This record gives sequence, structure tokens and C-alpha cells, in this order.
Amino acid sequence: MSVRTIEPDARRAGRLVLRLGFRSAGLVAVFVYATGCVVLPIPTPEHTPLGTVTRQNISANDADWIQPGTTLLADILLKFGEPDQLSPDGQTLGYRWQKIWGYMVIGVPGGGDVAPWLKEYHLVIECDAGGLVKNKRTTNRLFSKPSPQELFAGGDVTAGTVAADGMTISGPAEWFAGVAGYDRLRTKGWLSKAPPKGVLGRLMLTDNELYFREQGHLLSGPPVLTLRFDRLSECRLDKYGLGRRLVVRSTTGEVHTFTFWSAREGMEDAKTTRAAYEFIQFRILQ
Amino acid sequence: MKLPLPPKIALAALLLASAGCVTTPPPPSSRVDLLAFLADGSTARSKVLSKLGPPSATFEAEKILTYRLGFEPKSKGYWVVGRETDGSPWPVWISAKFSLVLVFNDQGVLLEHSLVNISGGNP
Repeated sequence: MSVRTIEPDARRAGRLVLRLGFRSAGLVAVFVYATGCVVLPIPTPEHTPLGTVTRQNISANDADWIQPGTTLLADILLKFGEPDQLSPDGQTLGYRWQKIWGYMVIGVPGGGDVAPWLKEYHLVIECDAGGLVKNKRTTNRLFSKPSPQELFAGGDVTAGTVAADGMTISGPAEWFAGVAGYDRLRTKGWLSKAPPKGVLGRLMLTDNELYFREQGHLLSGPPVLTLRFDRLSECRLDKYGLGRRLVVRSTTGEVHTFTFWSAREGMEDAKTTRAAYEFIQFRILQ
Repeated sequence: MKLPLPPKIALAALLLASAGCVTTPPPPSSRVDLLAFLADGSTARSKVLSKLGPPSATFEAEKILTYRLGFEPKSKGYWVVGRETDGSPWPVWISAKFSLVLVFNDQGVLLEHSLVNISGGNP
């Protein structure tokens, strides 16, 4: 098979295969039959990708020296450096690195392509309130990249969550600063040349305030937006078709719009957005 | 005088080379002595904050601060960089090549520090 540049459609088809992650051999068989695309994995000894953007100062065996009950959080930071993620309580550290597991040869009618097959490694270290290591684990994934929250204890946080007592709401969300719900969409329509661009991150509601942390920042780092409920003059749920957006206006006139997202389903999480609206409304009226 | 094309290209190349435009200059804030003030047992946290600015992360009620540092091999200069992302929830290490970890005591005096090479080599 000759290896050369392939047409965009075929390239897209190959990437679709990667995204699907070979969850079942049957799916692959159907895909091959339907598209004529063949993907051949070629394993190699694991090695560091050139120009990698992940840390490379940790390998799978480098955590052997960490002893639960003995090692301190400070020891880990001094040895491995700043973690890539930190749990909201600041007690669980997450380190991430990638290695090349092999290469993928994608064959389509008339050509082909070769791409490195990356393996994701994670070291998760849980400490107690006194900074003593409680446990550690190393995980790896070949076909997918888990969200930082998935690696931490505390259950599924890939979708918005509403606590049992109804007092806190938290989830992946998009923030539109200076935008009032779907107003711009209503005036300019779906074909608007400049739809408002949101910031992806995590919206969290506590008893007294809401705060937003931008995606990719440390969970315990400072939020990019904090709004106290007692400084809000308005909270409404804006509806447009099936879409739901939470709109808040501060007493100083600032307006912000939020939409919760379900990371698992890749679509708006109208249920959590509505719960957030009802919660803030309740807090404003108190 | 009208120069033929090749001499024009040669002239442009000469100008670029002599102006240093063909290489990437170190960031203006890169400094060889950026960390020279750090001394275990004596440096105060307030001095660290005033010299390096806000840390990229804090731990244990700010007893531990971490900074991400860029490094320019030619000048051996460091500079402070913020957390970088590529659109995924995981941060990436592109400009930052080192992680500076500073551990303070209850009085805010530096107890211990380390400069960790994120790419795995020695500083």
C-alpha cells in the first residue's frame, strides 16, 4: 500500500475510527465494510512523542517510592512538580503524561495515512487533610482521554450534578460574558455571522455565590468569575427551542449567561441549567 | 541601480541574519538570575510573591507555592508563565519547561525548594 496524502473525506473517516476507539470489533468490521477504510495498528516499544505537550518527568514505575502513611504531599510536589490537576478539596493530585504506543496505518481506497497512537498515563495520589498520602494509583488508557474529574474519587462529574440536599450545583458549562441569553440569536437568527463565543469551564453554585472556572485550570485555582447572589438583581431562564440558558444580571448592570453541558452526551444539559436557575432564584428571593 | 533578483534575495538574507531575525529571541522577561534570591531558611513568602508574582497553584493553605517557568537554553534564563491549555480539560506544558516548588514554614519562611524539569532531564 502506498502511503500518501489522502482526500479530506477519507481522512475524516479515518479520524472517526480513532474517535470511536474500537469499542467493538463488530463496529470496526461494519465500518471497514461500509467505507472501505482499513486501520492497521502497529505496536512499537513505548517511547516519548517528539514535541510532546505533556510532562515527561514521570513514568509508570516512578511512583514506587511513594508510601501511603509515610510520604507527604510536599515530598511529591518537590519531586514531581506542580500536578496537572487537583481535586476541589486540594487533597488529590493528578499527573498526566503520554507515550507513543505504536502507529496506526489508515488505508483507504487510493491512499493512506500514518499517525502515532498515543497512550495516556495518569498518576493519582490521594492525601489526607494533614498532607499525608493515603493511597496512589497509576492508570493508563489507549483509546480515550479521561476528564480530570473522572480520575478523582467522588463519582461521575462528567455531567452536571445536583447535591442531594439541593444546596450545591456543579457541572461543565459555557459562560457568555455580556450576553443576555438568546437575545442576540433572536435578533440576528441562526445565520448570524458572529454568534457569541462562550468560555468553556465549570460552573459551581454554593449557598451564597456562583463561580466559574475556566477549562484546563486547576480545580482549586482562583475562579475567573465570582458572583454573590446578594449582588444579583435578576435571574431568569431563557428558552429558545429546546435550548435553555441561565441569565443573571448584577446590581451594577453586568449580564452573564450560562449553559450547563453534559460532557458525556455532548449536548446542553437543560435539566441542570433549570435547577441552577431555580436555586439562584430561591437564594435571591430569600 | 536596479539589482537582479538573486542579489536582492542575498541582501535580504544578509540583513535578516545580521539583525538576528532568523532566530527566536528569548522572551524579554527571561532572566538568568530570576531565582537567585531564593535561599532555604531565609527567603520570605512575601518576597517570593513580590519577585515572581502570583503562583500558578497553591497547596496546604499556601504553605506550598508552585510556579511554571519557561527556560531559554541559550541564555539560561527563566521566566514565569501561566498555565496553558490546548482546549482540553488537561493543561499542557509548552512554554513552561520547569516547575518551581517552594515549601514554607508556618512563619512564611522558605524551608525547601526544588526546580523540577518537566521534560525529565536535569536543569
